[in-house]
Amino acid sequence: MIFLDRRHVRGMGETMAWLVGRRRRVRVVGDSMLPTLAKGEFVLVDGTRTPAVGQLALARHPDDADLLVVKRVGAITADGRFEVRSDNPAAGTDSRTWGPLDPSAIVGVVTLVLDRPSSDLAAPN
Amino acid sequence: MPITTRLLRTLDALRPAPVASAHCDGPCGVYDPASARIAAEAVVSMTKKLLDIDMSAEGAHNTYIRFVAIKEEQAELTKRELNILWHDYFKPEHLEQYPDLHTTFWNAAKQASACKTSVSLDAANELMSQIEAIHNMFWASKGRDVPWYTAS
Repeated sequence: MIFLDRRHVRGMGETMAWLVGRRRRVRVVGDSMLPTLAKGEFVLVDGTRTPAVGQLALARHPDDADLLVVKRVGAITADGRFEVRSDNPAAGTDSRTWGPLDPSAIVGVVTLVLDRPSSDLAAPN
Repeated sequence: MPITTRLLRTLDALRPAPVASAHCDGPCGVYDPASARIAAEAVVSMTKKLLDIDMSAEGAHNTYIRFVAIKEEQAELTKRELNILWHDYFKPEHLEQYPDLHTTFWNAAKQASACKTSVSLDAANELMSQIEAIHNMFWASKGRDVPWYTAS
């Protein structure tokens, strides 16, 4: 008998969603999301959902719409904008520099690290 | 390497995924010729110290080699800082405003190399004056009046 915990089941569900074209695959570069995401890893992004506080968001850089960034949502402001943070603040710029991101800059929610399908995307302690 | 990672690498080679940046070498927007100026000032300082060494003193050879190593390292750092400004800050539209932009950076980088291959105060001072020109060009491009200054 094989025991699967919830993360494995979710991992399989997300991978299936990707295989049927309902998730985007994105490659991470840089160190600002360590230890949650390492450079070179692939993540899946659900473009139909809006990230909640604590989730990882894929967003367009406020000064360069062609540049995608991956950050953690630290707070959502009263007017609906997204305060995003780096898990490794020393290695990244985020809403500390840019201010909160407009909802139009949000591309989707990171749902899975493909390289580590059972990985936990919760904020590191 | 886990098999999933290997498969993903193969897939990425066939159909590359878009990249999401989690780093700062993207447009963090923080540029300042001061980084190059500080490194170049260290080159000037080490050049002066090298010229002042009394080679008959005990340990002089060791001191000389240490100072040369620091001069070499700081000249290399100067080139790197200049390159960051040149590649990352300045954009093609700046060329209209500063047609000699490429020549200015090229000459400054070459001057930093000249400081490596010699122990010449003239060469080091010339590097500083080229960085001063870059300082003026940089801040003018941002519409700001930042006076040139040195730490030493």
